[in-house]
Amino acid sequence: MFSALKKEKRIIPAVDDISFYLKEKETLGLVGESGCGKTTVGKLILRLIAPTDGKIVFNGVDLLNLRKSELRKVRSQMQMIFQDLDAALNPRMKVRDILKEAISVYEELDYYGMNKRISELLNQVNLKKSKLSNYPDELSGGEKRRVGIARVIAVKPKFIIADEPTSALDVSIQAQVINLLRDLQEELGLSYLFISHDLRLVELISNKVAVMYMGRIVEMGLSGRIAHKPMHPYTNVLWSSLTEGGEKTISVSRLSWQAFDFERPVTGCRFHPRCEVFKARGNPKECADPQNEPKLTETGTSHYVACHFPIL
Amino acid sequence: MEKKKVVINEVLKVEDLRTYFYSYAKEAFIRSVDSVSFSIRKGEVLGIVGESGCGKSITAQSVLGLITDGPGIISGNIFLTHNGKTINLLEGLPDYVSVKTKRKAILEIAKDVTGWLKRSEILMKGIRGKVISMIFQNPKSALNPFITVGEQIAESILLHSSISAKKEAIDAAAKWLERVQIDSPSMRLYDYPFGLSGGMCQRVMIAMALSSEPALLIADEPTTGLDVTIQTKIIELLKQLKEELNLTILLITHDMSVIMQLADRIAVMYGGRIVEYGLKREIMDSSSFIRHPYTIALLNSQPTVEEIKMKERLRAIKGDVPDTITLYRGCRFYERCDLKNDRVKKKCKEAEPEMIEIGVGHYMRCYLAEG
Repeated sequence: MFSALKKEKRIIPAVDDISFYLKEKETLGLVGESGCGKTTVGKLILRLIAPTDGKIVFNGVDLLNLRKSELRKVRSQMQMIFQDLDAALNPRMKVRDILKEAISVYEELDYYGMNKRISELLNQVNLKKSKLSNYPDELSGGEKRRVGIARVIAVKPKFIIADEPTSALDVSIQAQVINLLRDLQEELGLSYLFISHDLRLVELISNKVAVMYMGRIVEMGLSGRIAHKPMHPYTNVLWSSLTEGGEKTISVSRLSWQAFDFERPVTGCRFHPRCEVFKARGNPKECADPQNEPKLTETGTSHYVACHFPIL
Repeated sequence: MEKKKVVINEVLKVEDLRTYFYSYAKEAFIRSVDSVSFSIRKGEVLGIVGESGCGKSITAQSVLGLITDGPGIISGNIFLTHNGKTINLLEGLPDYVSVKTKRKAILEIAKDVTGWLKRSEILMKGIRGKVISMIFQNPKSALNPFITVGEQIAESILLHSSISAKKEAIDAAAKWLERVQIDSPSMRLYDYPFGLSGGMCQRVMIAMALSSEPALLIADEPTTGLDVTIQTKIIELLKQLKEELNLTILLITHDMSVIMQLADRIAVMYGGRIVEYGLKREIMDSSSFIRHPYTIALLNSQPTVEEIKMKERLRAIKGDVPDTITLYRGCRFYERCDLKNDRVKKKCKEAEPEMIEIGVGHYMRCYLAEG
C-alpha cells in the first residue's frame, strides 16, 4: 500500500557524526533551531530510533549491542520527558493510574506500598493529592508537565532526556518547572540531556552546552563560555537574537535567517551560506570546499568548535 | 440601549465586558471575562498579558464575535469606530439570553441560540476579517493544508477589497508576501503550508490578515511556539509594519518580553479581570515604585542576565491560576501574592480591591496602592 509513496528513496542525514559525553549529575544542554536534529539525538540515545551507525555507551555498556530484554533493563535507568504535553499522557487514564502503570513496570508493590510510592512521587513534584482522580485534560499545562515528570522519575532513572520540557508553558510556569528539575537533580542525583531552543534556560540549567546545526554539533563547551564568548559564527548569531529589555537592536542581516533544508545539501561547511564571517572574509575557498568540512576540534580547555575561522 | 459618545480617535472601546459560560457539571458560571474595560487608540498597540486561563483569548474572541458555544453569555459594550462611524458590536445580543435566579442560585438559563447567532452574524458582517482581522496562535493549523498560500491570501483579498479579478488578487497577494519579507514571493505563492517553516507560515498569516487593510489587528500569541530566533524576527516585522501602515494592534501574550518590545499600553489580566492598566512607560518606568504584585511577579519570572550567569534559582510564581468558577470574596491574587503585608492582609482577604487611578491613566486593583 505504501509502495506508491516510496517512489524516491532519499537518505536524509538527520543526525550526522555526533559525539559527546555526559558525566554523572551533569547537565548537557543541546540547542539549535527546529529541525536541526535535537530531538532525534534524544530518541537515538534511548534507541527509540535505530541509528545507522555509531556507538552509544551507557555505564560502560554499548546500547546498540543489547538484546531487547537487556535493553529493557537498561531503559529503567534512562527516561525521556517528551515535548508534547497532551500526547504524552493517556487522556483516558486518571493521574493515579498513569503513575501506577509507570511504577508497576519495574516494581511489584502491594496496595499500601503503591499508595505510599504515589504520594512520595507527588511530594517530589509538588502536586496536590486531590489531582490524583483527575484526567489529564482537567489539569493545567504546568500540572500536566509535573505529572509527566513524576511518571519519569517513578522508575528511578539515573539519566533523563528532557525534550523541550518548557516550550508549551507560560513563562511563570516555565520557571516552576526549571526549579523543579534542578531540585530533583540535587535530590536524586540525576543527569540531564536538556534539549531546548530557549537559550536562556539552557544557559541557566546546563553545565555544558552543545550547539547543533543541520545534524552536526558545531560548538561545545562550558555554558558560560558558549553564551558569552562564542567562537562559532552560528552560536554568535543564536545568542545575539536574545534581546535584553527589548531595546537592543539586532545587527544580523536578513540572509542569516533563511531556513535551512536537509534535502539541498551544502558543500563544505554547512553554515557557510548564512555565515557572516564567510562574507566578511570575502568568501574564502575552504568554507565551500566539499572535501574540507570543518571538524569539531578542541580549541581550549574542553571547548570544541567546528569552524575554519572561529571568532577569537 | 443608550448609545454613548465615543472619542473619535479610539478605534475600539470595550466597556464592562463579561463573557460567562455555564458549567452544567458544576452548576455554576465560569466567569472567563469578568467586567473588563479598555480602549485602543488609532496607531496604538495594546498588550494584554497574563498566564493561560486568565481570559485573554476569550476577550479577543468576544470582540470578534467568535463565542458561539452553547451557554456562552456576553454582556457589556464593544464600540468599534471605523470611517467616522461608531457601532456597538454587542448591541441587542443580551436580549436573547435570560437568566432566572433565586437567592443567588441559578434556576434556569434560557438562551435563544439561533436568534443570538443570527444577530451576531448581522453585527459581524463586513467587520470580521475586514475591519478587524486576527492572527492566530498556531499558524500551521490556521492555514488550509490543501490550498496554496497564494490562493488563500487571494481569497481574503477577493472577499474584502474592491479587487474582483482573480489574477489581480494573486498579484496583490504577491505584494503582501513581499511586505512581510518572504523571499522570492512570486514563487512562494504556489507553496502549500506544509512546505513552509513555522515562521514563514506566521508571515503568511500576517499577510492574509493585513491584506484587507483592517482598522484593528488582533494578534493572539503571535510568537508562541516559534523558535526564539524566529520570534525576534516576527516581533521586528510587526514593529516595522506598525510604523509603515499605522496599524492598531490588540496584542495578546503571556510573555512579558514581547509586551516590552511591542506594546504602547498594557493591560495585565488575572482571573478574568484586568488588575493593572496603563501606558507602558508609566508601568515599566523604573522610577515608579507602584506596580501590581502580579505584574511584578510576571516580570520576575523572566530570568535576568545576572541571574542566568550566577545560575540562581528562578523566581517562579507559586501555585496555579485560579479557576473562574469559584466566587472569591477577596482579591483573586491573594493566595499567590508575595507582597501582602499585615496592613492590608485582612482587607485583601475580605473584599476585592476596586480599580483606582494611581497615575495619569494608570489604574490598578490593589490595596497596596492606596495611601
